[in-house]
Amino acid sequence: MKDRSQDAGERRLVEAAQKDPSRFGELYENNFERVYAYIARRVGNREEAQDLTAEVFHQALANLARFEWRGLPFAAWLLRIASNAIADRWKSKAREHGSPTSDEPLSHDIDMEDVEQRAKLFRLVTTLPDDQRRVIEMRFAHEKSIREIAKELGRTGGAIKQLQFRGLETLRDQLVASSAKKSSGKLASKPGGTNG
Amino acid sequence: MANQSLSEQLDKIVDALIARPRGAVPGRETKVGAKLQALAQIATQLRDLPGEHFKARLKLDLERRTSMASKPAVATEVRQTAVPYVCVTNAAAAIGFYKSVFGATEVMRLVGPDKKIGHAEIRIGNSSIYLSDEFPDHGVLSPQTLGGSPVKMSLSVDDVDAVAARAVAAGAKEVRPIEDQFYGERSGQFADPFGYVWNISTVKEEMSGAEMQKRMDAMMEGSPEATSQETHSSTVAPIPPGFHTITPYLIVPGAAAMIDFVKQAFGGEELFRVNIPGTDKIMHAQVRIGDSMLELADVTEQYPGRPCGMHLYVLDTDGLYERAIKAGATSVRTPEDTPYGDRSAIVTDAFGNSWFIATHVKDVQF
Repeated sequence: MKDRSQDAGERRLVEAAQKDPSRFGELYENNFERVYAYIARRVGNREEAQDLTAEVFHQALANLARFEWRGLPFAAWLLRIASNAIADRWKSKAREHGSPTSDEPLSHDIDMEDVEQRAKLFRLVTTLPDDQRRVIEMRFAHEKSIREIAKELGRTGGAIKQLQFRGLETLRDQLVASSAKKSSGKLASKPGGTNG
Repeated sequence: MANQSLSEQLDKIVDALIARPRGAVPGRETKVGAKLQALAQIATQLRDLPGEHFKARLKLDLERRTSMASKPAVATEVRQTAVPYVCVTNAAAAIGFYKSVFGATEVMRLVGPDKKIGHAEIRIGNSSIYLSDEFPDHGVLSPQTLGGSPVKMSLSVDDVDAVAARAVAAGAKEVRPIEDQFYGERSGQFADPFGYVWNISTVKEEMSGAEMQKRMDAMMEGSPEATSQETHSSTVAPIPPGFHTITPYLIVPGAAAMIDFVKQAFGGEELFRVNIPGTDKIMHAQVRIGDSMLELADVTEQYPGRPCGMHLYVLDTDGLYERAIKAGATSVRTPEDTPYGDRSAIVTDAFGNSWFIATHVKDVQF
């Protein structure tokens, strides 16, 4: 029943956004990390992943009226747009370089569980305490050295390493907690189920 | 201090991770405990973490496209293509004056360590004006220092008499009294306390340029019926089509050449021109650049020419800069990305006017 009520909620959001595009923001918030994580897994380059993510949401907004509700989650539609955008990008790159598209990552190479896990992780980063979040973002998203971060934040290198450690610890704890919750939810929704 | 050593060990792992090309097989690494292993796995997944502000920026961009940003309308409106950029001796006081007299709203101001305003933006009606304090070292001088400004600010309002009364009460001086004009406006001119003259007007009767010329020719011949103001239309728009509340007015020696330059350099479109009768000097001309109107005239004894600054927002600063140089402009600064999010270049024309050409490429929070 839980899934069905989620479906109904999403369907209402999509229909509201189709009538009034200003409501698209909620669909964006619900799907940003998933779309980004999927693209990042396939292209393996942050700049390109960001560029393609922007392209996907712009396309989705422009074509929202054409989306028809057929019971599939809205995310599936977004990921299809993403998949096409990636394929187009590879084709045009191949044309530019005059080489075949042999290095195109295939979509079946992508483990969707892994994508979901990363999307959850990216969402959790935004909920970290401010000082931990800044260090994690500077270190990983901007690939800055401990020394650079220490200088920018006016802290010692040791303090930055501690914040990095604590940030990763917090993320691990929250991932563990959320998967435990999910497992117990699965068990609860499947009376007698043994494979939850 | 166990954590101290763990954080050091973890950082070594992260360092190696960041240094490794994406997709490369990890090298043989020192064996670490289960706890560090779990953290290292999370670190690996974080390698793809999106940039710090990417999500918020993309959301803002999408919101703009749906023209429904929840921010105040003034911050998200489309930027005007040409904006007057005025320099005054006391920008803070000038902003206060324009707020109380013309109903301006302040969009932003940047204040330097010396408390001087380096850049401020206000809006009057549907138009933007940029302001700054004087910076003599950079050639940024006010009309008070220069002994006046050849650029007049043209302000279209619903009730010219009421606005003029407010201006005078706040310290403006009358330059020309309010009168009904042959070209269908009721207008007068007032010098604000900062050295700028404002032509304040209310349109009373819409008419074409040809009709204006006819009335002016008739007026010059002294025909009394030509200046009749009796047939006022009751359905005129107070701000004529294509105009914003404020229109920059360039008064230069050789307005015809200036119009040619504006056409070649900035793709200006001449909409209207009327000569001073019996001369080839331009009394008044209108040129459209992008979504903005520019008015031009030749210098006269009454209105001597002085250089001024014009700010343009365009789609392609680099392209327009090249085009302006080809049209005879002199480069002051080649296109460059600025810390305030604009890609911007500066040229001067043959008359000494500065043209600030910019493309807004990035939103920067101040």
